[in-house]
Amino acid sequence: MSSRTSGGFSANPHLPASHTPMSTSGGFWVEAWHRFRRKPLAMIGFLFVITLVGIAMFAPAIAGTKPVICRYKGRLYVPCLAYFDRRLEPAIFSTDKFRGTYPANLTQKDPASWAIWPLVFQDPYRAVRDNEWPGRPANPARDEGQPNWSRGGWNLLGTDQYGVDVLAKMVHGTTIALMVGFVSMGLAGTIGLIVGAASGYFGGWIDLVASRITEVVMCIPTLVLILALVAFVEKPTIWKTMAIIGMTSWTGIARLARGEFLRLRSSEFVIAAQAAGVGPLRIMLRHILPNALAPVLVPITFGIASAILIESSLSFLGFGSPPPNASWGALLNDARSNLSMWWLVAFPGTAIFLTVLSYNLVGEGLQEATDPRLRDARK
Amino acid sequence: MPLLEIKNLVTAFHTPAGRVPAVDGVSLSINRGTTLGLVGESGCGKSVTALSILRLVSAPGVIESGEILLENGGSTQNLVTLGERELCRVRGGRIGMIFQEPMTSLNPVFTLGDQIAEAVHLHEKVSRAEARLRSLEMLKLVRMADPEQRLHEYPHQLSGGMRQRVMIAMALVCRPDLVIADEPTTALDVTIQAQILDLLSAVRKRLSTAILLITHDLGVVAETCDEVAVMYAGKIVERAPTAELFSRPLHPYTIGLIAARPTPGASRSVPLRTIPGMVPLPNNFPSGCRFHPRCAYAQFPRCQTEPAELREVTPGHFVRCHFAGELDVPQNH
Repeated sequence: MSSRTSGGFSANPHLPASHTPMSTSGGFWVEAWHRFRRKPLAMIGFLFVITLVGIAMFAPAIAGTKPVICRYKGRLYVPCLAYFDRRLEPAIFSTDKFRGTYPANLTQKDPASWAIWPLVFQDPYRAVRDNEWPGRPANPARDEGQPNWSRGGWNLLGTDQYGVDVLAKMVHGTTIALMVGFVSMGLAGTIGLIVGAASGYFGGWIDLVASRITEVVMCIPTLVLILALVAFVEKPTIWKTMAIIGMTSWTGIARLARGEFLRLRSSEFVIAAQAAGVGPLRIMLRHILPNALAPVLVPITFGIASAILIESSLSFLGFGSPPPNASWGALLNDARSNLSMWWLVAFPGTAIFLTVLSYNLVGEGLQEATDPRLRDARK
Repeated sequence: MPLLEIKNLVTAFHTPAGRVPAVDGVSLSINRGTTLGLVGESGCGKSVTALSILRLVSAPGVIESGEILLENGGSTQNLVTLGERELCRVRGGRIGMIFQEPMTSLNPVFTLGDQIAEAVHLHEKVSRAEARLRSLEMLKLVRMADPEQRLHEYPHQLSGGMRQRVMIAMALVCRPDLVIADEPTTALDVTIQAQILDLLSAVRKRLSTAILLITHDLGVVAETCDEVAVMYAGKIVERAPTAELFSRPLHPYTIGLIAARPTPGASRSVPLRTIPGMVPLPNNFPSGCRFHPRCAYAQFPRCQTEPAELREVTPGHFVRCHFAGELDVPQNH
C-alpha cells in the first residue's frame, strides 16, 4: 500500500499491515470493523447473534419430526420446509396418508426409501408419540417431563405440561426472537429516521411538530401503550405484535437522528454539495444519512434487545402471539401455571437473558468503535 | 453585458438581538473570463455575499433586496427570484464554488471519484463510464499525482492541498462560467497556497472561466486579479482595476490596508502600520461614513453625519468617500 501511494504519508514499514488500519483504504466502516473486532466482549456477543441466526435458519434440521431430505417412491423431497410454511410440505405425503408420522410410514410404504433426519427427533408443536421413532417411548408430560439425561437423553431440556419437547420449542422460537428484534427495530428505525431527518434538516415548524409528537409518544409508558394497542387488535399475530413494538419504540432513534441531521445540515461538505446543485432529498439520503447512520445504529442495537424483552413480556402476560407460534416468552407463560416445572423457566429465561446481553454487548462495542470521543477516552 | 451583475444586494440576519445587515447594498459586476478580487477583513460580509449569489445563506439569514443577474444566452436571469429547481441547475452547473476548508468540505464517506462524478451526473446526462472519465480528466487538470488511484481513495487519505485540488476539480467539472473561490488558500500553508493560486490561474486561462476570488490577502489579489473590490462593514468602499488600486488607492481604508503590508527589505525597527480600532459589528454600524471612527482623515463633520456614496472618481475607479481624490495622501513606500 505505502509503496503505491506517492506523496501520501507512508506507513511504518516495520508494522504489519493489520496494525495500521488508517493506512489501508476502505473508509469509515472498515475502520470501525477493525476496532470492533478487537473488543472481545462485543465479538462474543456478535458471534452469539450470528449463531442464533444460524439456529433460526436451520431450526427444522436441528429439531423436528420431518426428514430434512428423504427419497420416497423414486423422488427426493425436503419435508422439513413445512416448518417454515405448511404449504411447503410435499402433497404426496398427505395423499399417502402419512398424518405427520414419517419414520414408520416411510419404511412401510416404500421399503427402498431413505431419509436424513434432524439432529433431535422432537416436534415443537406436539408431543412425540409412543414408538413414533422405532423403540422410543412417548414424551413424558407434566412433572414427569423434568430433564433426565439418564433416560436416553431424548428430552435434553425436558418437556412441558403437554409433553412437548422444550428444546424443540426453543430452537423454533429462535426465529421469532430474532425476527422480533429485526422487524420491529427495522420499522422503528425507519420511522425514527424519517421523523428525525425531517425535523433536523428542515427545522422550523416541521421540527416543532415532529419534536412534540416524539415527546408525547415518549411520555406514555411503553408497556401500557403496547397493551392498549394490543387490546385494539383483532386476532393478534406475531407480525402485529412486532408492528406495535416498532411503532412505539422509535422515539429515541428519532431524537438521535434529529441531532445528527441538525449538526450535519450546516457542515461544510453539505454546503459544498448544495453549492454543487444537489437537491434537498439527495442531500438527506446520500450526503447526510451515511454520516448519521453510525450514531443511530447504536440505539437500534439496544432497541433490538429491548424489543425481544418486550415481546417476551407480552407473551408472558398472555398478550403475545397465540400458539402454535412458540416464542421464548410463551414458554415462560406456560411456566406461570406450572410453577413446579422449573425447567420451563430456567432454559427460556437463560436464552432471553443471553440474547439480550449479546445485543447490548454488540451495541456497546459499536458505540465505542464508531464514536471518536469514546474511542479516545479509552486510550 | 457582464456575466454576473449584483445590484444593491442586502442580506440580513434576523437574530433575537435584532436585524443584522451583513451585506448592505453591495453592487458588483464580473465579466466573462476575468478575475475579480473581493477583499476585506473578517466579518465585513465577503463570504455572505458569495453565499448570497448561490442563495445558500441559511436561516436566519435572508436576502432582503437587490438583484443578482446572471447572463444566460443573451438574456439574464435573476438568481434572487429563481425557483429552487432552476437554482439547482445554476449551482454547480453555471456557477461553481470552492470553499475555505478543504479538510471538511468533502464528504468523508465517499471516494473522490464518486464525489466528482456526482457533480457530473447532476448536471449532464452521461453514462457512469463517461462520468468517470470526466472525473479522471479533471483530476489530471488539477495536477493530482496518480489520478487513476485517487478516484478510489477517501478524503481522509489526502493532505489539505490535495483536497483543495479535488474541490477545484469538483467545482470545475461541469465547466461553469463563474467560479466563486471563498478564501481558497487560507487553510493551506504558504507553498501550497502558491501552487493552488497558480493552478486557479492556469485553469482559468484553459477553460476561460471567470473567478470571484474572496480573500483577505492583498498579495493574493495583486498576483491573480484583474479587478479588485474592497469591502468594509457590509459595503463596497472602493473598486478599481488591480494596478490602479495598488498604485493610486483613494479610500482611506484601502490606503491603510496597503500601508499595513510588510515591505521586503524594510528596516525591522520600523513597526508595521496598522489601522486603529476594530471592525464595527453589523448590528451597530456607526452613523455617517461607516469608516469614520477609524479614519485618519475624518476630521470633517460631514463624515459623521452623511453616509458616503460610491462615486466614479476616474473611469473605472469607484470610491465611497466624500473626499476621494481631495485628501492629501502620503505616498506609501
